[in-house]
Amino acid sequence: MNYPKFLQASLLVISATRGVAEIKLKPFLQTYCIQCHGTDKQKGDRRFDLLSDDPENFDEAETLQEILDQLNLGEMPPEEKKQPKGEELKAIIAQLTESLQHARQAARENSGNAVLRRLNRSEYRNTIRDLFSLNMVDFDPTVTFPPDDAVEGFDNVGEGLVTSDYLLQNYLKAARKIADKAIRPGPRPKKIHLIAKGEEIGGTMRGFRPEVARMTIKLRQPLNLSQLRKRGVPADGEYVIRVKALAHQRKSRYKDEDLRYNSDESMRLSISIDSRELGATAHRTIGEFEIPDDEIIEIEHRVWLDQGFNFNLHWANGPNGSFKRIMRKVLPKYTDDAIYPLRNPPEMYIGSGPELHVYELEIEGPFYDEWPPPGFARYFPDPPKKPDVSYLNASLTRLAAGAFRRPVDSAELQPYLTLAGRHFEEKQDFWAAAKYGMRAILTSPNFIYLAEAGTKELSQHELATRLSYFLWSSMPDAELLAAPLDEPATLRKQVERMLQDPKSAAFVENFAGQWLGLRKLGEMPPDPEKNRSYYVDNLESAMREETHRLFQYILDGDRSILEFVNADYTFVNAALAGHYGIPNVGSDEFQKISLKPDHHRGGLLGHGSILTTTSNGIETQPVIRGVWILENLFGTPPPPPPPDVEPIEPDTRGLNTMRDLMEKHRDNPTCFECHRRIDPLGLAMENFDHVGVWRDRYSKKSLIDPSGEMADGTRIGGADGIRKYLLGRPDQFSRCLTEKLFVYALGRRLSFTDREDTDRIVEGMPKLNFGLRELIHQIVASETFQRK
Amino acid sequence: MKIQTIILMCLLTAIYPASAEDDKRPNIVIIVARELSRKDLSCYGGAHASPSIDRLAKQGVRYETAWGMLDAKLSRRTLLTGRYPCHDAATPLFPILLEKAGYRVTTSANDPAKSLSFIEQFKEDSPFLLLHLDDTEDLDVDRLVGKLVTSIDGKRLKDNTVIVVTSDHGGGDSKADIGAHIPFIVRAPFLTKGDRVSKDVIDLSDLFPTVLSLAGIDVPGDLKLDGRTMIPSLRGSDDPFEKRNWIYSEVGDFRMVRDWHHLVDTEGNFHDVENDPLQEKKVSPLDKQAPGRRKRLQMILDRFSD
Repeated sequence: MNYPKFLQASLLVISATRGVAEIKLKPFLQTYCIQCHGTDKQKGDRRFDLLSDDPENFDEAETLQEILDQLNLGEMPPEEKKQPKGEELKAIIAQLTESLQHARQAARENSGNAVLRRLNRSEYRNTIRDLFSLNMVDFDPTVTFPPDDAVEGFDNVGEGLVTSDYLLQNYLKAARKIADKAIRPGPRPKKIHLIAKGEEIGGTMRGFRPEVARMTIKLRQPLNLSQLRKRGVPADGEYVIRVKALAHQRKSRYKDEDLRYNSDESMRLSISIDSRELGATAHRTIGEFEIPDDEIIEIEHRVWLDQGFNFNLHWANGPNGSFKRIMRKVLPKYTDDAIYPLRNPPEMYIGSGPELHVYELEIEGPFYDEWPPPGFARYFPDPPKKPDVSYLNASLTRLAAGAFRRPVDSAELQPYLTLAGRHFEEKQDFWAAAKYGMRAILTSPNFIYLAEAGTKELSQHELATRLSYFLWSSMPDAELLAAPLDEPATLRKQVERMLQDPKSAAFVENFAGQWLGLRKLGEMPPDPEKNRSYYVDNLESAMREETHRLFQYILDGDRSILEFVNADYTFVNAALAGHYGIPNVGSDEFQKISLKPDHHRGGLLGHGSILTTTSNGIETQPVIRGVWILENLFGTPPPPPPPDVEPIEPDTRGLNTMRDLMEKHRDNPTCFECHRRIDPLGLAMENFDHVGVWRDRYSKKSLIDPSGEMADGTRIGGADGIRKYLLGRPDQFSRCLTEKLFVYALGRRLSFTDREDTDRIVEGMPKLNFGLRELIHQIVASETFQRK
Repeated sequence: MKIQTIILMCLLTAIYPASAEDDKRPNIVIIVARELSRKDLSCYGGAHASPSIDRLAKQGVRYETAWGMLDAKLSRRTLLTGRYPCHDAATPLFPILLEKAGYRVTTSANDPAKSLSFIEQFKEDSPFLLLHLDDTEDLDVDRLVGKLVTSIDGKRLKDNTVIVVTSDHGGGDSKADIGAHIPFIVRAPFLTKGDRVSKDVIDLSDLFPTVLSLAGIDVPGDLKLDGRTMIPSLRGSDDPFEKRNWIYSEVGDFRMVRDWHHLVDTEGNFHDVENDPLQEKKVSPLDKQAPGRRKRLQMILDRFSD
């Protein structure tokens, strides 16, 4: 069934048949629906016998919209129940469509509720980053914020963004940290320049060749500068780290399996940073470098370091395990003079095996492109020697306009200024007062909440803000705030500019990450013993990267959104390709590759990320996969299981396959109601195991049968069947993605009043070749987006 | 076996036919000072000035941990045969092997004049070995070394001549690490640019294979040696598999072995001689590495029990 065309047809029917075939909704429901959705049963938690038949009642309108959708999709009444005749169905659809349209009109005229939602964690962070031009890589004032709850799958929906006393406490703490970071008066911090050579370098074993510091195992023998060990670097800023290193004896007398090491790989040196104060959470690898054999290479790496941070060098792919193990268990295999399994002197080993040598280690910095920092000078330009109250007021006013994302008038700002002014008067410390005022502004509802007050039309600033949090998950920049967004051409130009800006990575990360549930990847990690390569090759991040890249690629090229369903290409590195059984991908770099049908990988359904997220780390979960597909590709999520139904504890004795297990759902009609839609989809995906590896059979004896029948009777055979099914119904997928984008863009649930825009956009998609970028332009240009 | 007899033999048959003209094998000068202790040499932190030996050390490699036997005679025997005395094996002496291989060999027992004139009269027809056993007062040996080096360098032989200065015993009577310690300095410009203090462990048994490999002589197949060639160590090799990981000393029935840190002897002593060179303290039971080190050294020591 082609949904919008049908709808279009039914709209035409209205005008033609109006008054002629008008039928009442109540009797229709009575005949076809009440049996399952009435007093006796409320399947899917739906009950229609109490409907008043008044679509202008807002709550009822939502239910009526749902009934209309089900009729349009042909999902209800179920196949085996009594079916309405074609004419009758057309008439009721036409009538419902029309009355809902009226209802929407009325609702829009009467509503005008201000949309009020607070920034979520990542929006808060990004906003602070942009407000003060801060480097946030290692500075996260939101680290103690409680996680934001998702509504409709997105954590930027106002309904889920509750505020608690605990969160308020955190806002206060965060504001203090930010003020300390952002207000940096005084001269440019002094540079340090530290160099250590050979055995002067911290962390190396001493007493060997003095010109060399050595690493003999993977990661666990970090080298560093002992001068930085206690306090780290003296000030926030950009530093240059220089290393002279050499790969020594990559191939040696030791067998790889004894050292648990791969001598075929070039040695790699990694640089990590951490902070004593912040502990393990601050640990991060900032760079990895290939080191050539027997030739000293000079590495130079620029990196932003926050005050107190230190750095370490590691051998990223050295022998696994401890040095002790080598001394006790490996060495005795190679010389009679070593004793098993005791600690032999390291002098017997050092120099005999593969080693990563460091000759020189150096750090210089901090360097600044500008001083004072731009995020400080923006609000506190050219501070006088003895800054006074008027300078304080002017500065805080500039800050408030930035923080509130709009012009501010002096009356509303007075309380903040008075507060800071009093502090200045009492303490006579200008910069303490400035920080105090900044903290007040950063804890103001005007900053924390995206408030849209007053008229139904969004103001220019409100629209800029909405757009900015949609595409950047952050505040609008000056250009966006100044642009006349009521001109469609300007709006379009700004959207293009925003999508090209690196800040739009937040859109991919936050929208795609939540739409597809990628954020849950890693919540049920596979068993490390049985899935070694998942960890060794870092497959989890490779899988996530693949999906992000697909989204980015479709977005950048305005490619068809149907490529999410099926694409003849994907993005892999060598490890992921190996995991997928795709040969001849040699590089660790991600690359676009062409897919053949027998790779089974086209589109999201073949992505390891999604196949792993929908499994529990040990085995696949067809129900979860089925629900995932219904929710995220079909746009028809099944209702949650009725609360009074205990999950079946299936009797698994004598059952061989997942399919046998799922047949249990048939035994219980309450379950079967929804599972007839869920299970065929889930079972069709069974050829992918719990980490997305293709398989033809569960075991020697039992072959996987991925065939099944959809609720509408269509036969599907495996994942390709689902792809075919969806590609045959492109509007269904368009609608699904459009609705998801709308929820994310608006930060609220969709209501039936938004339906017109959604319908229009979905209908127009074929003409736009289903382009994703165009879809975003359509959404931004819609009335739903531009009004409250 | 009487060492002196053999040395005498060598003295009598000092002249051998010349080899081919383009013989590039290095000259070898070994000066073994009698009872010269490290305490006598300023380069080892000793009390006396020893400018010539210090200069030699500066131009070559000075070994921090070198052992002789606990008795001068046993040391000389070990040096000449490449075997520890406890084996009591009949083995050829390296001067004879070198002579057979075409080296011009001179052994001088406390005869500085002979040694000096040997160098002075040397014509570059074949490489030479000078083994000088010194028996003078401490500072005289430094003077002799100075003269020999001046003479060698004056004849432009420096680059192709290995000079070894060591001692046969240096530590009094104590049956301990300090009793076995001897100075050991090597100058070999074609192996090392010098100015290095090595922490590699060596003992006098290593001289025999070192000299043989310098002279390009294969160790006779039936000959078992206790030492290893020091050439990788002199070159500054990193690889412990090319070097000693323990050294040995003995006197009478007493035997001991050590590595870079610890010492074990046949009287049941175990010491961290790196931190406790006078062996005054017991190894702390909290030292988690010590038991493994001890067992290893004991395993090696047991190879020399009867």
